[in-house]
Amino acid sequence: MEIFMFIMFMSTNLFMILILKYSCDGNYHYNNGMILGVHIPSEHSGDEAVISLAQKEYKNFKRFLIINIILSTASCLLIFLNMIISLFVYIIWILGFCAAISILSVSSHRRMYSVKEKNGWIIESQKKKVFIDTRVSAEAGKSELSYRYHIAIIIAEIACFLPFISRRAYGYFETIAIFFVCSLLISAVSWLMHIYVNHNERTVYSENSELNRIVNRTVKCYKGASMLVLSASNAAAWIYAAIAVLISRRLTGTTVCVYILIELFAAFAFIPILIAGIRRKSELLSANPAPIYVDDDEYWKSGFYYNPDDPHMLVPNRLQSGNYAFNYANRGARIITAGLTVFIAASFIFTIAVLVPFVNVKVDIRTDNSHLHVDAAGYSSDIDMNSITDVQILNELPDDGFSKINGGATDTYLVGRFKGNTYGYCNLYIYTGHTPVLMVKTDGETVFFNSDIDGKLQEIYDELSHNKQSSSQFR
Amino acid sequence: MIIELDMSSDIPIYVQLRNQIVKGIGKGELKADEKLPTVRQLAADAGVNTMTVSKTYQILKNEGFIRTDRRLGAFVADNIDMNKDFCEKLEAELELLSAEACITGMDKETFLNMCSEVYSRMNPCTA
Repeated sequence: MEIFMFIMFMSTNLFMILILKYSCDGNYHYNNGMILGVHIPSEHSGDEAVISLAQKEYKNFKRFLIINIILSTASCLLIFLNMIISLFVYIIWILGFCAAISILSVSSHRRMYSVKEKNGWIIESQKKKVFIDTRVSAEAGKSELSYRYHIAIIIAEIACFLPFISRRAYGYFETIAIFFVCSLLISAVSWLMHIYVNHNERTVYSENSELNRIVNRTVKCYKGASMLVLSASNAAAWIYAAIAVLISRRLTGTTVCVYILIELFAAFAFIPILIAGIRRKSELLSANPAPIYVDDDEYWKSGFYYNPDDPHMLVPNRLQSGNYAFNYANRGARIITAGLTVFIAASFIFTIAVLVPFVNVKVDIRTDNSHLHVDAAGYSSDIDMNSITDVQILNELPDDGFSKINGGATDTYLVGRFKGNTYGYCNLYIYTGHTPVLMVKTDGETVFFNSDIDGKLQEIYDELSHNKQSSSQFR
Repeated sequence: MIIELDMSSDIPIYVQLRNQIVKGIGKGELKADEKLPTVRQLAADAGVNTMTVSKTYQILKNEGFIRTDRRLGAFVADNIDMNKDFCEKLEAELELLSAEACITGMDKETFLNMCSEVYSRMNPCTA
C-alpha cells in the first residue's frame, strides 16, 4: 500500500514539475517578440539589461524546480513513516508550490516590464490596436478533429454504468457510482474544452494570413487530440473497472490499482500531446516573416490580465504557454476566481479536519448505563444494550466485500461507515489483523469492532450477552 | 486578410471595418466568393457590439461589395459592378481629396502620380 502510494504521489509530483518546466521554459527566451511575457522591440532583445535579467530569472526558476523536486520527494518519503502526516505535508507543499510559482512568474514579469518602462520601449500607437484575420475568424469552430468524437466516448461510459442500476444493494455500488461520475465529468469537461478550443483558437500571429491559418489549425488539432486522448483513456479506466466488478462481483484492490494506473496514463498521455503542440507552434512561428506587434503589456503589467476594453473572460496565458488566463476586468472572471478560491480553501480545511483524527487511531470501547459506546477517529456508535438483537464473537471480519462509504481504510485499520454485500450499511472499528471481532446488531445498525487490549472484547461480549439474556427473561 | 482596427481613433469602428474590407477586396487579399466571418465572430474578435459589425455588413452589402446568405453567412461579391451611385460617391470623395491636396500646396502632377501609384497596388481577384 505504502509503496503504491509513494509511486503514485512521486510520479504525479515529478510530472507536475516537468509540465511546469515545459510550459514556462519558453518565457525566458525571446519568442514571438516577447521575453518573460513582455513585448520587447526586436532591436533591443539582445540588450544587456534584458539578457541579464532573463538569465537571472531563469537561474531562479531552475533553482525553484530543483528545490521542489527535493521537497516533493521528502513529502512522499513520509508515507513510509505515517500516511496521514505525509498527506498533511503534501497539502502544505502543493499550496506552497502553487503560490510560489505564481509569485515567481509574476515578479519576473514585473521586473521585465520595469526595464521596458525605464527604457521607454512602450509604443503608444500600438496600445489600442486590434488585429483580425478574416480567414482564421471565418474558420472558428472548424477543425480536422471534430469534438463530436467525445459523444461516442460519453455514450460508452453511460452504457457501462447501466448494469449497476439493478445492483444498488451491493457494497461496491457507491464507489462504482463515484468512479462513473468522475469519469463522466472528466469526459464532459474534455468535450467542452475541445469545443472551446475549436471556437476560440484564432490568434493573429503574423501579417501572413496563410501562416495564421496553419498555426491556428495546428494548435486546434493538437489541443483537440489531447482532449480526446484524455477523455478516451479516462473512459478506458472506468470501463475496465466496470467490467472487472461485473465479472468478479466485487471491487478488489487490484481493480482499484489498475484503475488508478490507467487514470495516471490518461494524464501522462494528454500532457505530451499538448507539449508537442506548443513545440510545433513555436517551429511554425519561428519562420514568421512579419510578426504582428501589439503593445498591450500595460494590461499585463501586474502579472495578471486586466483589460476593461476586452470583453473576453478567458485569454491565452502569456506567462504559461498553452494555458489560459482570466481577464480580471470581467466581473464573471472575478466571481469565478473568488468561488474557486473559497471552494479550494474549504476543501483543504475539510480534508485536514477529516484527517486529523486519523493521525493516531484508537478504538475506544466502553459501557455505561446500559449503553455501549464505540468510537475511533471521530466516528462513534452509541448503542442501547436493550435494543441489541444479535451479538456474535467472530474469528475475523466476515469476507463480505466491504466498501468504504466514508472514514478511513488502511493496512492498519478500517474505521467509519462501510457497506457489505450481505450486511448492507455497517459501522466498522477494526484494527486490521487483530482477532477476534465482535458483531453487534440492532434493528437500525450493524457494528463490527475489535480491540488491541487482550481480553477486552471477551469482557464486552460477556457483558452484552448477559444483558441480552436478562432482558429476554424480563420480557 | 488582416483587419487592423485602432480603438483610439476618431474614425468609428464600423467605418474602419468597412474601409479595411473594401481595401482588402481591392488589393486581392479577399478573393471573390471568399467567406467572411459571421457578425458574431467578427464582433467577438474586435471586442465590439454585434450591431457595429452588422451595420458594416449592411453598408458593404448595399454598396455591392459583399453578399449575404441567411444560412451560410457573408461572402465577398463575385461581380462588383460600377453603377451611377458609385460614380457619384467616388467623385465626391475625390473632390474632397483634391481639395485637401490643393490647399496643402500639392501640384496636380504629384497628386495624379500618387493616385496612379495607389491604384497600381490594387489587384482584385475575380471568381
